[in-house]
Amino acid sequence: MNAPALWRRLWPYLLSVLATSALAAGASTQFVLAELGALGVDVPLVDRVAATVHDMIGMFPTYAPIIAVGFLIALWVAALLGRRWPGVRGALFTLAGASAVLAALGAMEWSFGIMPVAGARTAGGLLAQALAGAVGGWLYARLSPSGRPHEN
Amino acid sequence: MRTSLALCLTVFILGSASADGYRLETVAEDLVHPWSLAFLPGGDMLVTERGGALKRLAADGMVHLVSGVPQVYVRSQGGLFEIALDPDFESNGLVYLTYAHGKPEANHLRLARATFTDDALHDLQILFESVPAKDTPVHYGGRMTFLPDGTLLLTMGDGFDYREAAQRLDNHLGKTVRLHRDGRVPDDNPFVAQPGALPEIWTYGHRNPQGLAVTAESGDVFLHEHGPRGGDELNLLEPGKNYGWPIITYGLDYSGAYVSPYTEMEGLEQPIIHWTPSIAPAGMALYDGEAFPGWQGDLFVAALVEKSVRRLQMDGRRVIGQQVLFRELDARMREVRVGPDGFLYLLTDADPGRIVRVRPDP
Repeated sequence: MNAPALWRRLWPYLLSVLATSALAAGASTQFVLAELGALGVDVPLVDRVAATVHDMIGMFPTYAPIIAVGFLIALWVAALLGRRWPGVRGALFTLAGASAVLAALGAMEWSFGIMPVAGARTAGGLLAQALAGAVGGWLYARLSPSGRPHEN
Repeated sequence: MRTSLALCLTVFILGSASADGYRLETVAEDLVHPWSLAFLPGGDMLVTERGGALKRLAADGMVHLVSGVPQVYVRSQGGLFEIALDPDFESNGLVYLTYAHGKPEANHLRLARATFTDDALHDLQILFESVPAKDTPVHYGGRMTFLPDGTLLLTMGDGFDYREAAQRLDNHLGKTVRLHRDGRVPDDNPFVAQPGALPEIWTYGHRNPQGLAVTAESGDVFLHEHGPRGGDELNLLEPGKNYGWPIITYGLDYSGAYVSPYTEMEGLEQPIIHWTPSIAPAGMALYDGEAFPGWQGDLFVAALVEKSVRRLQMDGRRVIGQQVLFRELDARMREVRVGPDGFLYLLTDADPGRIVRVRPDP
């Protein structure tokens, strides 16, 4: 694969990782703040927005590399399957994104015995993380070259 | 059963720092993650290992395995934790143990007591078991001390994934618990009369408290607790007070996210000091010995991550200075104790771990 062809795959990949990382962090923040709310803490909108931005930036160095590794594997598998079933290529990448995030969280929980992403401790929070992964996968499907490498 | 492991109680000089006026000696080694230490009358010591062993370190240099230790759940941070002698040990022979109990999907912190004779525990009684069961192998707390009125104070962590439970009074997670020494609940505990609250609770809103020290004169109770990334705290405990976790904290989650955007809030206690970045405080002693007159009244905090012992110079309830000590050992420090000889005893968190004695440099 020459450099331009590599770049055509790389930038959608990086963008999808970035998007999933930001969305997943933002979703986690909402679930964490909801838990504080359940304890009787009133979190004004300005604090909520500031906390969301803080967490998107703060979680990036730890969460984005994990998502990046998960996406590398999952999107590669989706690309292989997409060649066989091009009609469902978008769905495959979407599913791959969600699976990558769930697998990464599952692996961390199994490995550490705890859930390191606090916003993923509940079923709803876990679903939100998966949706963030799905958005990243969908984004990659939309932005990346759709054909076989030699057709690009 | 008396089992002599015939390990030598090697005493040798590791080095001295005459500028600081102390000398370090290893008094026991080849221990496996030693967690707690108690001094028996006559010069022997009892030491717990996180893996579940209780050993007597005899003054003559022998190491003896103590039998009758309860079954312990050993995983990650879980295992055998603290040992403490009853204040009337010389007459009743009672010792107290804290430990993790259960299985991966349902485990607890337990407090038990037994009679210690002939290198064995007899008549073991379970005095306390934390509720609810949790499915994480971390944040047990597990430290205990005796209050001036003779009751026993025990720390319990939040179980990590259950941090919000530290704010609710229907469970033991993230709490300190006060009991009579036979396990009964004192009538004057702060939440005894509150419907829905567990009567054992003394304070709440803690993360993973692993250090307790009580002053003899004033009865002040100091507690330290691990923060996440930053936000380790030293607190002055008062019954019924809420210490804030996870509503307020100076730490961030390990992920880099907020645990909470707030560091203070009305009705929630502020720490005396907090350590950011974390030092990982794991054990604490109040120095009341004679060997180091300049240390009288100071708190010593064993730090896992900083690989040090912090000397907190105290002026009553205020910390007026800090000194980082024993970094030359390059060891994660699990516990610090003051021996009856007035020397400090340090437990290193390692396999092999050791006990290091700190004595004045002549």
